[in-house]
Amino acid sequence: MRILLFNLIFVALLPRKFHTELDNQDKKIIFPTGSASIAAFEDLFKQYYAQLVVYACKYVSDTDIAREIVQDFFVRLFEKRQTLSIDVSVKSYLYRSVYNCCINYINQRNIQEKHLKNIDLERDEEENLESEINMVELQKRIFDVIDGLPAKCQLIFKMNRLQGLKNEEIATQLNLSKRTVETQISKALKILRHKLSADIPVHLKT
Amino acid sequence: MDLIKMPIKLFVKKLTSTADSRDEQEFEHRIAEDPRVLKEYQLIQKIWNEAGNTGVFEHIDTDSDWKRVSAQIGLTVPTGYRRISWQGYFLRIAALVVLTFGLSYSLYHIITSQKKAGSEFIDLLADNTVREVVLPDGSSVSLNSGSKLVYRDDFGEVTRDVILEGEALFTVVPDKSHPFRVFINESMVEVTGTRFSVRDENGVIKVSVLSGTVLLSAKDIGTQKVSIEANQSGYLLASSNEIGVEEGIPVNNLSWKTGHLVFEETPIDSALLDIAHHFRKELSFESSVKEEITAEFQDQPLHEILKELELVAGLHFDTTRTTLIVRK
Repeated sequence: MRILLFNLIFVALLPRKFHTELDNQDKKIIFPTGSASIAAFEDLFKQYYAQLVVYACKYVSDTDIAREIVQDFFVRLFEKRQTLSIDVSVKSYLYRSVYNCCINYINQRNIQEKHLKNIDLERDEEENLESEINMVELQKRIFDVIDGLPAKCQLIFKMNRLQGLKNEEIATQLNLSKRTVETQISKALKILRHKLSADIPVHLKT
Repeated sequence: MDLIKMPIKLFVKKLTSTADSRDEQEFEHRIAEDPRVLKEYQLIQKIWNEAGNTGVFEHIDTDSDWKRVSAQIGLTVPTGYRRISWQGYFLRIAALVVLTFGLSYSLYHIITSQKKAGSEFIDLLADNTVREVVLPDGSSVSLNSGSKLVYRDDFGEVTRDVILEGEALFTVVPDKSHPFRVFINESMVEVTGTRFSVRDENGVIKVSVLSGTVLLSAKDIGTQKVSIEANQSGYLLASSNEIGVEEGIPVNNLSWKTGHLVFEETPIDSALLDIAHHFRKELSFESSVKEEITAEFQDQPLHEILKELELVAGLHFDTTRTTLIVRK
């Protein structure tokens, strides 16, 4: 039966980058009966997977469980892609679905936990979903830019932001002057600022 | 907004809390002069703060998780294949062929092997001498005698996993995208590129790091990991999952590889532990010993070392094939 899958069609019309201005435009998943596009499914996965895991993590508080939930979701999405109709943007759909998967997961766990979490969940659902999505997407963009920084610049920036080291400590560890550390951090921030110029102003509203 | 005119260095000083009073004054001055400076600062501050929250992404490996998902939905898509345009007809045949081969391959392995279907294990055993092994990724392993190293034939494709019984010294070729993991007893040692040794000492896993950084944890996913830096040793008690890091590397830690044993005012019982370990024997005390010794041995056989200790410390030894017995 698996063979049939290859004949089925999955095409996602996806924006390659996030510009919030585009968010209200149509970005629906369409399932035409044309040439097969498994690549589109892979692109969809690769574009959103990490963010969705981070997002799910906020509810299930465990990366491995979050990974499993998101992976299961993608498997089911692929399986039911023919009967699926999505009226909202792809992004909203993915986040909302993963959110529902998380609630299901939590509901299956013991009642006490369910009780505690539900209070948070209900509030999140109404008020925070949009800003949560923006936050996670922004963090992913920032991470991608950091990941693309020149090696030394990246190392220093990560030591400060991810390992929480002070400039002096970084300077000692890497045998550099404090000034060099500051220069590298300035460089990192300049690049980040430049590359994120399209994303930031909107998110800054909060 | 014109980025060049912004006092980015001043921003950095403020963000890293290294601004002195003069910097603060200048900052106030710049804000008063041009309100856009404050806006820009807030923006940079937002990036700065959010950047601190991105660490979680470092632990998500999208490509390897995609492989898991694509396997589940029946897409065994090797890289480089998907960009080619395929005709549905040809795909059907291809899928059939793949399925047929896949099934018979798995069946073959289920039938012919007691081990997991679909993967070959490569076993390396060091019998009586230290064995030097080069893994497919170029990393080298010195395997102490009596130790065993196992890895799968798909080593390096996604992860670089090996299973160790006994003791070994690893020199790992750096490759950030393929973590090198050593599974020993119930624990896991994870590195990207370093030089370190691992041994299982009756259920206590001991890791000594010569260069780079090593992560040590129990095998179960999600348990606490400790990071061991160069010139530190870590231990993990398999029974209780107690885990810790100590400064320094025991001086005779690599004697099995270097042939070099050195004692400096070492209590004789711990010196004997090192010697017994070096010759891979159990140690048995028939009377308690308290002396300290200072001595150095290079590639000397056990009986010579023991003779010297008999003279120096007035002890007597018996050796069996597996045990070193100590008495007054």
